[in-house]
Amino acid sequence: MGLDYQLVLWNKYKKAYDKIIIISMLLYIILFAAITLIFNSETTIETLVIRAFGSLAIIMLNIILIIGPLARLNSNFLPILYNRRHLGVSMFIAAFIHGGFSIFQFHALGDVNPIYSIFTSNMDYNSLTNFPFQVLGFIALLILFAMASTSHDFFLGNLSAKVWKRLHMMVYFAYALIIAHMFLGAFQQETSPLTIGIMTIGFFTVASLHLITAFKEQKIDSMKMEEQEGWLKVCTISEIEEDRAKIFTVKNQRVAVFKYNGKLSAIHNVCKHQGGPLGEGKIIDGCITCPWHGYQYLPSNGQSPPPFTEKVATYQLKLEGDMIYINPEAFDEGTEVEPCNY
Amino acid sequence: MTSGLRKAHKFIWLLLIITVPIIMFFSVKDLEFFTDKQAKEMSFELGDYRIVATDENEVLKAAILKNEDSIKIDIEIKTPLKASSAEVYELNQNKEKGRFLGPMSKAKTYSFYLNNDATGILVFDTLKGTEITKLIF
Ligand code: HEM
Ligand code: FES
Repeated sequence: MGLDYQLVLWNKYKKAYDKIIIISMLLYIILFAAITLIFNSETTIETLVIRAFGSLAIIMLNIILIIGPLARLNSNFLPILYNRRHLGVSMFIAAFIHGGFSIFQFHALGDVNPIYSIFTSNMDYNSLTNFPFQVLGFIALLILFAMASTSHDFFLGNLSAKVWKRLHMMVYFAYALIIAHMFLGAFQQETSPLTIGIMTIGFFTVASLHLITAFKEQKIDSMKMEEQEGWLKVCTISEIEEDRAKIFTVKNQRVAVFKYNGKLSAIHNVCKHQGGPLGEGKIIDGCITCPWHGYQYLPSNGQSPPPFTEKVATYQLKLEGDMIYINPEAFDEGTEVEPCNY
Repeated sequence: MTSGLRKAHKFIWLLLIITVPIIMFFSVKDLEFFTDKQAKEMSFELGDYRIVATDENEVLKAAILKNEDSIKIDIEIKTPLKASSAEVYELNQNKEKGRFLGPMSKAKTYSFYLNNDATGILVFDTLKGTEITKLIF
């Protein structure tokens, strides 16, 4: 992994992003409080906290969820993707304050355990409009907690990438729960077409961005290439930019063909960290650098430079005149392949 | 992402874009702002009941409905009540707080069976112990 890449290229931005996150959150809370107090001065401070942090959390979750597809559609969003994790943890904190205050205000004053009270104070589980919506919020909060507390890369290695990815895909389930939490809860009591409208538009924006990207990606996956005696025709040398790659689908796998220093190399497109698209990264200091979080791989053998140990599969290329061909059989991860000179 | 992960993501979002709007629709379809003025006038479920009286004040609108063997009252709350624990009571013959009918808070139509001798209804804030509104037939 590219330690200095992160230090040199990203870190000063990373700190700036963190500052932006914190300042924006504070501004939102202050603004929310000011507007509420002006228009509805009887609101209690608990209600104010519950509403301000609840709405902040859902707004942040919507933003978090559109970063992925936006970065796929437009690479200008990549730096935000890099910092998405901190946004996620901050969102969890906002949701936690909201949930915590709600439990305190609505459930802590009775004589039963407050958590037990969330599930039992309203047992109208058959009703739609009087559904115990707080239960939905509670389950969502548990999922967000599991994600936030395992967000560090330490757990990615410890839980295995597959388990970690599964856990983090639960965010979609949590998202649905939270929408139901709002629609069956707050929106039943405060019927405002404005907030309902905003949340509805928010959901459709998020969902359609994901689906648009999914269908676009599917097209790339089903791309067919011309075959010639076991080799697949890729493209001409001039179609690839210097220090960059073009991505092709070979036997259902995406492969990135890089051009650098008069040489061509091909590696599997999927980063070992969190599956970032290596072919959308650049060659920096002689290493293919993942656009998502900056893991690095040597183009000739798909190995991360020492002391790191990540390895991706490599592929063999050949040149006929200006045309690049690829052997669709992948080599084992980390296999050294002589780059094609041109 | 690998192609398997991409498929999983696509499947999840297809599922969400179908199920979430259904939840959204059913949870808001009975909310007040969907009924226009005319629908509001007609919003009481009649069935085999006849409307024998209607009344209205700034907080609620009520209709007394009768059929062969029962009397009921439909109460429509026009704006959400500020009180967090509002309850409706029958007014007895002496126009005093009588039988407890049920809780109410949201802006929607509630339906309760009445005793034959009821003379009105009272909406009461149980936390503060104050009257929110009263309707005498
Ligand atoms: C223990 C978990 C939770 C409890 C007990 C809880 C409770 C509540 C309550 C009582 C309300 C109604 C507030 C009102 O109308 O004044 C509410 C609304 C709301 N909740 Fe939650 N909630 C929980 C978790 C969450 C989570 C995880 C999120 C999102 C990330 C969330 C987002 C919202 C939103 C957006 C609203 C509507 C706007 C607002 O009033 O803030 N809630 N919640
Ligand atoms: S560095 Fe995180 S996915 Fe590649």
